[in-house]
This record gives sequence, structure tokens and C-alpha cells, in this order.
Amino acid sequence: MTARTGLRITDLTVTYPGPRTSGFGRRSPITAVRAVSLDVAPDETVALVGESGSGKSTIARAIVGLVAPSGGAIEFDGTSLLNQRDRWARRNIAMIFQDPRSALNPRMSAEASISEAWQAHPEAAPEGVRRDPRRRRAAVVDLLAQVGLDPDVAGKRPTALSGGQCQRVSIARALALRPRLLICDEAVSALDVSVQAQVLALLVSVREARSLSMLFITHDLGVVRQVADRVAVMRRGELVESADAQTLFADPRHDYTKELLAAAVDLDVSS
Amino acid sequence: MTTMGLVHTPVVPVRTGRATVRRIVGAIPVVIFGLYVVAGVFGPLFVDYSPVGGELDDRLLSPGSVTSDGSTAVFGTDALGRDLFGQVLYGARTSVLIGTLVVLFSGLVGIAVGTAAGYLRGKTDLVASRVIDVLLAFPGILLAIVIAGVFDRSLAIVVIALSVTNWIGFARLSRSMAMTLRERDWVKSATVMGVRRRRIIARHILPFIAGPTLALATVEFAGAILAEAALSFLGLGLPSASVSWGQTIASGKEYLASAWWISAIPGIALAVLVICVGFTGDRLTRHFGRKQ
Ligand SMILES: Nc1ncnc2c1ncn2[C@@H]1O[C@H](COP(=O)(O)OP(=O)(O)O)[C@@H](O)[C@H]1O
Ligand SMILES: [Mg+2]
Repeated sequence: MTARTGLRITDLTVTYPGPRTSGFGRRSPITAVRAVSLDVAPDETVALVGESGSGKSTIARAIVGLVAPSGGAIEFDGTSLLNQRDRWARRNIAMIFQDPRSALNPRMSAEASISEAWQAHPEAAPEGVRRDPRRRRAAVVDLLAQVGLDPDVAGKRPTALSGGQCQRVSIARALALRPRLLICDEAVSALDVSVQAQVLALLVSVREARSLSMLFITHDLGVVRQVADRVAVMRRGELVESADAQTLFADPRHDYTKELLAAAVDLDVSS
Repeated sequence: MTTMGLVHTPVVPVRTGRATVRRIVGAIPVVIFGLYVVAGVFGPLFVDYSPVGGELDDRLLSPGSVTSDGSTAVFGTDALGRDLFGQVLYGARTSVLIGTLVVLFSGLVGIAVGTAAGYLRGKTDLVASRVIDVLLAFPGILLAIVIAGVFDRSLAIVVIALSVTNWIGFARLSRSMAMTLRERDWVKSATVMGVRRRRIIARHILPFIAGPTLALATVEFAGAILAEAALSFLGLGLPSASVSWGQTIASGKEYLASAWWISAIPGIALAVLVICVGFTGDRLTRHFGRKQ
């Protein structure tokens, strides 16, 4: 259909209205992201790092259309994501959120949450899952197995699951439509350290198995080394450095990157 | 393990005892409210009462008197010789019916407007908020009196007159809830996935508005019953052929010194119902407050 050129962000600027200074006062706008250009090639994983408040989530929200940029361009495989929020983009770009519990509707079972994706995109759903409950269950169980969960998780609500299990369900749901780009916004930051490593390893294996592009957002450089091909460093809404992961870890250019590296604790996934 | 057992055993029975008492006391208003509903729905099936069928020989009989046809008037009779027990029972039906209709009607309108305003924001919210602000500036009962006074007396007019301001409570509650809910991650992830708006509202927003709305509905139910009684007391609202506590109370106001029961008994029935509904609403509010 379209050329596989991956994600291409050019001069992205996002401005929030900001708080009112008084009841009738003018809003003082906050520019959360200023002229950021960033590419994620097909099959590539780019880590977007920077301290809290540096504008990382804002970039993610702009890509998936949760906020409207005030300037710049975002393209995926040659199609602009800004003008029309078409179903094709919704299907091909999935996002994982930070808080594993609140990303799932507390009143819905894992099966209901996952199959909602198929409801929204019948064209991408496995054969018969929309009409036949048994096929739906089978397809859900298959996805759950891919993220390392037992079949009985299908009938459970988020309140009956652990944080790590919830995050796995979120990943399963993100994979349900076979997307090409996965955006993980602090996807492991809210988990216990041991669970972090497991979920990280899962993301790496899933990415390999499905040849996904990934934008991996984190404030914690420690989790980046095993995941990322490339690292982009943000500070106060601007991109200060972008380099090959090996290069960046071995020889950081920017002072801010050095600070971040010094503060980071290494987290080993390979074990 | 052992220490836990030692600490807990003496405490538990005392706690449960007190908790049981509190649970029973707390359930009383709910039970009384339920009795009203049952009486209002089924009572008229067993007790005959006609607003035009009074015996003049039986005028102003005190509660417990025997009437000319040999039956006992438990609550006495009014100035036209009509049985007060029947009036209270049929009045309960009217009150429960009006309360239910007003809450259903204004609840549906209010939730629809509030949820749309809170979820869609923008122009929808601006328009809805202004309408609400304007309506809030009027005292609700005054608006109801004007509407009920302008049109012919009928059930539909009473329901509309009371709903005109009643929906605002529902709209404000569901608007503020929808505004917080739309920022929750599960709504965002459904949006990112391309789930359609209507489905997001139905599956990811409305279920979370339902509980607190139910708590509010009880309060609005009591308010509607009181307002209907007020309208009927003023001779507005329901047609005179229907039975309403407000009408009965009004008909007894000339006899307050000689036949107090005509106004007092439906008045007490009204007060007890409103108080019990209020307590039921408080319980529901607390219940859903805990769950949030
Ligand atoms: N909805 C919003 N309204 C106003 N300002 C916001 C909003 N979301 C984020 N911001 C501001 O934008 C900046 C970047 O936020 P964010 O993208 O969440 O950073 P990060 O994800 O790197 O922690 C912060 O200064 C934050 O206060
Ligand atoms: Mg963030």
C-alpha cells in the first residue's frame, strides 16, 4: 500500500493552553515540545529519554493524535498523521501507557478489552472473532500466550490481576491489530524492578518476532541499553542529542546526557 | 500468626456486634422507602378509594372511627367524608409515580447533556454550561409554578415542570465526571485504538457515571415529590380528580384546630418518605464514594 519509511517527525512543536493567571486573565501558553525532528525507521527501536517534564509524553500524544501540534509534520510510512486521523493510522500505531491498571477499563475483562480492538477494526480481526464467542476466546488466549499469560486471565478484570499482568494484557491488546509501530510511554516505569526486567524482555522478544518499530519513552536510562538501537535525549522540550545507542553510552556529547548517564542504574535484561 | 490470633479474637465479636446494629439501623430508611413503593404500587389494588365517593354522614371522623357502612377509618375521614387511609395510599402511588417519572426524564436528559458536554468539551460544553447557568439563576419551584400555572393541569405538565430544573443536577454531576473520566488512560487507549466515540461513551464513561447518578437520583426523587406536593397544595399541577398528598393537606388546612388528622397524616407520610429517601441517598453516596 505505502512505502515503508517508518515514522518521520519534522519540526514538531506542541503548545498547551496553560493555566489562567486569574479568573479572567489570559492563558499563558506552555510550549512543551519545540521544533523536534525525530525518525524511527522500520524495525528500529528508538529510545526517547529525558527527565520528567521534558516533553516526551507530549511527543507520544502528538503521534497518536491525543494532542494537536501547533507546528511541524508527522508522517508514518509516507502518510501524514496530522490532517485526518484515519483508521489506517489507528490500526498501525499502538500505544502502551505507564500506569498498567488504569490503561484497562476496570469494569471490563481482559478478553473484552482485547477484543474491543477487533470491534473497532473488523478488517484486521482474525476470522470470525466478532460473531463466534468461542473463536474470540481462542484468539484472545492465543494473544495472551504470546505475552506469557495463562488462558484464565481472559475472564479476569484488572482488579484481579497484578501490575505486571495488566501491562502484559495491555501489550496483548496493542498487538491484537498487528501494528507496525509501538509507542511505549514509560511502559515499565510503574512496575517493580524484577517485573520491569520481565516486561522489558517481553517487549524485546515481541518486537523481534513481529519486526515492529518502537518508540520507547523513559526517564530512566538504565532500561534503555538492552532495548534501543538509537537514543534521543530531550531536555525542556528540545532534542539535545540523538545517537546510536552504543555511541551514546560510550561517548556522550552533551553535558546533560552525561548527567543522565551518571544518574542511571543499569538494569540487565539478558539474564 | 499466634500474635495475630491473640490480638484479634477478643476484638472481633464486639466489632461485629456493633456493626450488625449499625447495619440494621442503617437499613431502616431503605426498608421504609421500599414499603412506600410497595404500598404505592400494590396498595390501590386492595383498597378502594374514589375522590368523589364520600358519605356526608362520615364527615370529619377521627382516626379509628367506625363509618356508616361499618368499616373502620384507620386514619379518619376528611370534610367530605372521604377515607383518609385511602387518600394516603393513593397519594403514595401518585408521589412514587411522579418522583419516578421526573427522575427518569430529567436523569436521561441530564446525563445525556452532561456526558456530551464533559466528554466532547468545546462548543457543546460552552452551550450546555450557559444554559445550565441561566436555569440555575431561577428558583426551581418558581419556574415549576409558572409552567404548571400556564398550562392545563395534567400529569405530563407536572412531570415537565419539575424536570425543567431537575435535570441540571444530573447534568452537572455527569459533566464533571465525564471530564475526569476522559483523561483516564483506558479512555485514551480506546481513543488511540480507534474505538468509536459512541462506544467509548457507552463502555468507558457511562458505566462509571451510573453509580453516583443513582445516589443523586434518590435526592432528586425526594425533591420532586416535595415539589409536586407543593404544586398540588397550591391547586396547580395534577387534575383535581387525582389524589395527591398536597391536595389532601390543602383540604385540611381549614380544620387544623378541629380535625388535625386531615393535614397532619399525609404531612407525616410525606415527611417520613422524604427523610427516608434522603438517608437512602446518603448511603448510596457513601457506598459509591468508597468505590471510587
Ligand atoms: N495537558 C497539559 N496541559 C498543560 N500543560 C501540560 C499538559 N501536559 C503536559 N504539560 C506540560 O508540558 C510539559 C511536558 O510534559 P510531558 O510531555 O508530560 O513530559 P514528560 O513525559 O517528559 O514527563 C510539562 O512542563 C508539563 O507541565
Ligand atoms: Mg511522561
